[in-house]
Amino acid sequence: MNKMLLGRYVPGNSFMHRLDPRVKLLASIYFIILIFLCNNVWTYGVMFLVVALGITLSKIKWSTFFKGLKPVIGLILFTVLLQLLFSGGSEIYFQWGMITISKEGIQNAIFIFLRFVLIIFISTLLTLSTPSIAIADACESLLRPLEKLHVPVHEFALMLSIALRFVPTLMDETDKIMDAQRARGVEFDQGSLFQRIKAMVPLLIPLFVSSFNRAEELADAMEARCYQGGDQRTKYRALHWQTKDTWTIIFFILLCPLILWLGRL
Amino acid sequence: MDVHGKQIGYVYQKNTPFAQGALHNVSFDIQDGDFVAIVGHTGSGKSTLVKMLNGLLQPDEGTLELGTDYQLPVDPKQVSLRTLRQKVGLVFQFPEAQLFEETVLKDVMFGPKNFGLSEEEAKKQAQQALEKVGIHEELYDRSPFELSGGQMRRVAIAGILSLNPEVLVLDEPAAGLDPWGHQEMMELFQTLNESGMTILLVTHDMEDVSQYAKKVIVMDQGEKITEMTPQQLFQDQEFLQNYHLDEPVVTQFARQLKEWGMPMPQLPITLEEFRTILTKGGEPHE
Repeated sequence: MNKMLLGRYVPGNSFMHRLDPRVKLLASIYFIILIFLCNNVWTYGVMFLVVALGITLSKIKWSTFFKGLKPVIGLILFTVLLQLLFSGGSEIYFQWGMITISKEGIQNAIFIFLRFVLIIFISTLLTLSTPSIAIADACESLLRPLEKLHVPVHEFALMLSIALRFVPTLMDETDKIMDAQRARGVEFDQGSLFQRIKAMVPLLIPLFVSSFNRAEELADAMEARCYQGGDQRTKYRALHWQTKDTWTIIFFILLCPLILWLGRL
Repeated sequence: MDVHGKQIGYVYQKNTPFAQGALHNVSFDIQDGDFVAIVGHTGSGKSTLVKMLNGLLQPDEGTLELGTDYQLPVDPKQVSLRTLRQKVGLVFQFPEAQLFEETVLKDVMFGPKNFGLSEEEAKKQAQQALEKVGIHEELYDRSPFELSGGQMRRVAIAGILSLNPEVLVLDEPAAGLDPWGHQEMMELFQTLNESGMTILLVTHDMEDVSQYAKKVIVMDQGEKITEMTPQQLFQDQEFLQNYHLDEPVVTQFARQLKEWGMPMPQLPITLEEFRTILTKGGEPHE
């Protein structure tokens, strides 16, 4: 369970860590959209440079990012293989029944692979350099305008931050219950698919029970402290916009025309 | 079953930025039929050590011999840890979190059935285990989630006892119980020990150590500091303070009397010993 890297914050004090979480969140989303505008070597090259710059500025080891790829590498290779084998095109190198390897197929396969890597790297960069609570705060701050439309933004953000806050707790709990059931002879990683699914029951039921208990306890604790959401609430962690945030935004805005221009080459 | 640890080392989340050393060069010997307490401050590596005893974790360095059949580390793909898990019963902290079945009896039968026992055999062993922990027959068909906290704890412990383990490892088994429940729980373990079961008790409660353990292992920051009898451990107050360990109340009381001038060759660690000293005015052991 602890192998999951996405969502594990690595504490630090680099440029990346100090950047406003709103900027990081917006930039990441924007960057992912930009990835879909890329269509040739130059554009992908620039995107990789941007990611490399981000990673360097975060002072987190490259190997950490490659490890983030590991859990999804199977899915990536599967998609790449589909692209490679089943897309037709004008220049066909090999054909056997349904299977066609074409120049476009190869190119698309490579591009899809690169897209996956870029998306995973940028989202890993976001979650490694930003505590999840800060991401929730950023969401709340960015969605604030929707309050005019009577969307309960604060409640939504509260739910989000509680959910994020309890991810590690839930993972620890899962580890503990897995250990306890292993000690009673459950084998989670052996046997047929059916047996493995059956082995989830003694894990999931205690997890649900403890989650419900915890939710009630949390609600009680919040009520005991007279918790009330809404406008008058001040924040312990206030977000501060700095000059470097403005520069980062400008940098990303300029990235779009650059990609569009390079895409025409 | 004898347990021998030789220079055991363990690192959590090895090869990640979160790597954290948990055990370093830990060696110990536990004889069959022993009652050993493992004490130490939070984060001293007790729980890590405990998880190794039935192969949930495997040592990164050194070896752990369990009986004659097992010598960890082993490759779980080649050697099945099944028998080991059955022979070394592990009761985690707040074990009631593992309950999940519809009825108490079914939950206790879950373990034996996993280890390949038939329905009837599992039922027999489950009933015996429930009897040992003092759960009455009328509760067998109730949902475990309807029980009180103390009863849930007992049912969960019965879930491990029903495996008929040779070694019982307990991580703070009495934490959060009321004083009565606490004493009953500890007396249960003593009875089991007297009937030949090896008991390993991880605890912060020094009263339990002084009353029930035959031997104490003191851990600190992933290393074993020392191993001695409770009688020896509670003589050295400075040592106890260094490792954030309490004194039993009776020892504290006797030490105060000694400081005020009462002759006391050796500090008592149980009421029984204290009484002997008071009546004989001398050695607690004849």
